[in-house]
Amino acid sequence: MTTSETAPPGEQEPRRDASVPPAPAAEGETRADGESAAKPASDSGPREPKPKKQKAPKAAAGAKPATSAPTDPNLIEVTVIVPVQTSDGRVREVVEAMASELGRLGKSFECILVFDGVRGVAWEEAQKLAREHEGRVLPIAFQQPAGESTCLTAGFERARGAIIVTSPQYVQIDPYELTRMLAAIDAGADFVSPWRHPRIDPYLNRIQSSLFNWVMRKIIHSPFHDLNCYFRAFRRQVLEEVAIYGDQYRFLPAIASRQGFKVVELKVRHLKEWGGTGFFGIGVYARRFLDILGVVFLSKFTLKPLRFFGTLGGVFALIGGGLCLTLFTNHVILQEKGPLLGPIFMLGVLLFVLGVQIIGFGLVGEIIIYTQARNLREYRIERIWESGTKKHDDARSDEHGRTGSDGGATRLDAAGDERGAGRGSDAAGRDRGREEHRGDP
Amino acid sequence: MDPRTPDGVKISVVVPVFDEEQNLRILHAEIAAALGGMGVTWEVLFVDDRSRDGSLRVMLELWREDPHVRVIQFRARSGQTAAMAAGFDQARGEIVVTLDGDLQNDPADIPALVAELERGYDVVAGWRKSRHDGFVLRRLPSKIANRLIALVTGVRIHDTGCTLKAFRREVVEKLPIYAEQHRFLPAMSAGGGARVSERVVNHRPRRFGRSKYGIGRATRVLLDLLSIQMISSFSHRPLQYFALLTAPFVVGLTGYLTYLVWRADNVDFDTQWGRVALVSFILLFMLCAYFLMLGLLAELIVKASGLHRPMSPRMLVSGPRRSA
Repeated sequence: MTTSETAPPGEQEPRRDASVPPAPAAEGETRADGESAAKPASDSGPREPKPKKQKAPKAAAGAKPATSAPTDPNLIEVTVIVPVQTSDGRVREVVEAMASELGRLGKSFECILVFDGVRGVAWEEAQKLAREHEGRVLPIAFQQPAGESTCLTAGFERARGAIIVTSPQYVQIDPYELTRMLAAIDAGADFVSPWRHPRIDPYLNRIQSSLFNWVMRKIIHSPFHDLNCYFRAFRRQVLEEVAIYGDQYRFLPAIASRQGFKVVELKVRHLKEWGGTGFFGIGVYARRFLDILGVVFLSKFTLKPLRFFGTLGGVFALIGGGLCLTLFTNHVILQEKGPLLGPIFMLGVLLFVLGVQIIGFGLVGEIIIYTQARNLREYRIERIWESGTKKHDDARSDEHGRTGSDGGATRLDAAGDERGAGRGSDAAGRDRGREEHRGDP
Repeated sequence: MDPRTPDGVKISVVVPVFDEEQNLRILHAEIAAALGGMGVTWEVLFVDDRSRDGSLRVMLELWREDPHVRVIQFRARSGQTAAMAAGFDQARGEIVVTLDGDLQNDPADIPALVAELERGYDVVAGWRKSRHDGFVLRRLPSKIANRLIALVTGVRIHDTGCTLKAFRREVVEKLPIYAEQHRFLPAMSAGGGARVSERVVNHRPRRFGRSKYGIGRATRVLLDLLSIQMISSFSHRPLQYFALLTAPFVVGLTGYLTYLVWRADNVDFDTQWGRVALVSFILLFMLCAYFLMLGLLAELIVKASGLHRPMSPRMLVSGPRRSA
């Protein structure tokens, strides 16, 4: 929570300008570095964004051994994932906007178009794009509609880039903002959450959307203003550590920031908005409500289900028991007239039963957590300073550790370094299979 | 030598740290003095739960000065139990000792705990017989909680809340440690077949910093107690636990039935009390059936997890080694 921050665009601007020009200079050596490390693909560089990102602007594009390029995972820097949900999705616009922007930055990229059970014009267009961009554009399709989150998950599973960008099926945000978002990641962010500001869609939409974001701010203390915009950029590592399912992609910025990732909110220029004008409908509200309920429950009580169910059930059972007890004492001791088997008794006894049942659910929840506790790690390690590998990388780690402790500004440097430390202890034969706290897919 | 401890580290001391800047250096010196005098190999793991003061800086100074020191930093604040779990996961020693970062535990007690462990126990808990904390806010609730825990789990430990504890590696490797459960570790390991003992340890008043505990966790402790009772004694047969929970209802139902049979001639469901009894009867019966179903569901979960086989054979493995 504490590491998340909101950066006004003004603050981000200079960083972009500063970070773009030096890229070619750093390129040669960092690239060699990346290659020599020869890591397994699953492990590829989520924590070493700096060297990776700045490599090979012209080289990759110029050499363009189009077919072989994507087979080498080290050559993909950015993966753009676009869920396509209607057959008139503007895939060409999106792909070309991304391609030109990323090409300008000299980033090698791939674009995964996930068709959510729709084909039609967009699918043909995607096939054409796949041919034109030779392996850079990968259209995949579900047989039946599976929902946006499933599409994204399917895309994530195939993504090879160290940085992942998701975009809606039309050019919603000024493509230039991508440059700023990537610059923010360069500057140390793990996740860039956009904030459409000012928004250009109808008044009613804006009210509903800001209501949602306000509720989120109140309930899960998410500091973000626009959780509904899916034009996002983040490090691959975020998704490797934060499991999302169902509709949780919406809440990813909040969840990631809760887990200690550095999430930056960036004001972006909103170009247009598709669909969903007017009142969103009861169904949407109901789904959002359930989403929020699920997220709150999971974020607070994952490991202690009984605290949630027990408190809830306990309150019910106490109220119910209390009602019955009052009723009976009134009748027996005060000799009160009136129906005994009335609404109060029914309410009381049913509440009691309900409460006890809810507690029962909590107990089952505890059993589930207990049996699965090995899979649910409660902590995330930023880095470890090992005693034995000290000689190995003493100066380096120490320096990073110090700067890291000072302000958190270079936190990612330190984190990137930890991988080095991890490998070091690997070499020393001391790894007991626990270094991959972060690398695990 | 144990293959899992290739370095031959004998004792790992795990210290969860949250805002203990001033205490750390003293603590480290005391640990070094206590363990250095034992003539064994050791290490100390400081687990930084994202301290907001200069704790990490001090830890790194210590790390640079002393090769025994390892430092783990969390990415987000995760709590003391998580810090212990991380320490357990990373510890290399045959014996793992946990210790508070606030100097209230005395590292000089470690040799005694270890000696007790070597007498054939798997877990040795510290017992702060004379505590230096406020009575109403800290000692009284703690006393009640300890009584309750002992009563519920059947593990007679006077002071489960004392962080100073020594574990055999096998125990911590097998125990799932999560969600503020460190105080239940002895009970849980006893449930798994470990032999648990305790020793009186020194307890000192706080010197720097402030306590991170307070009262107001009574309901949480009670609920935790309920779950710990189930997990420590019934995790391999949850159906029995749920059946046990229905016991009062079953007794009530049986009593009522007996009453009906006994006075079979003048049961009248048309009186008010008769109707109340009938409704209660039906609902309690439903509740019992429902709990048994939940118990079956829990059995299913335990079976599916594959966790039901294990604990006792595991503990047997540590048997011969201990005598050696």
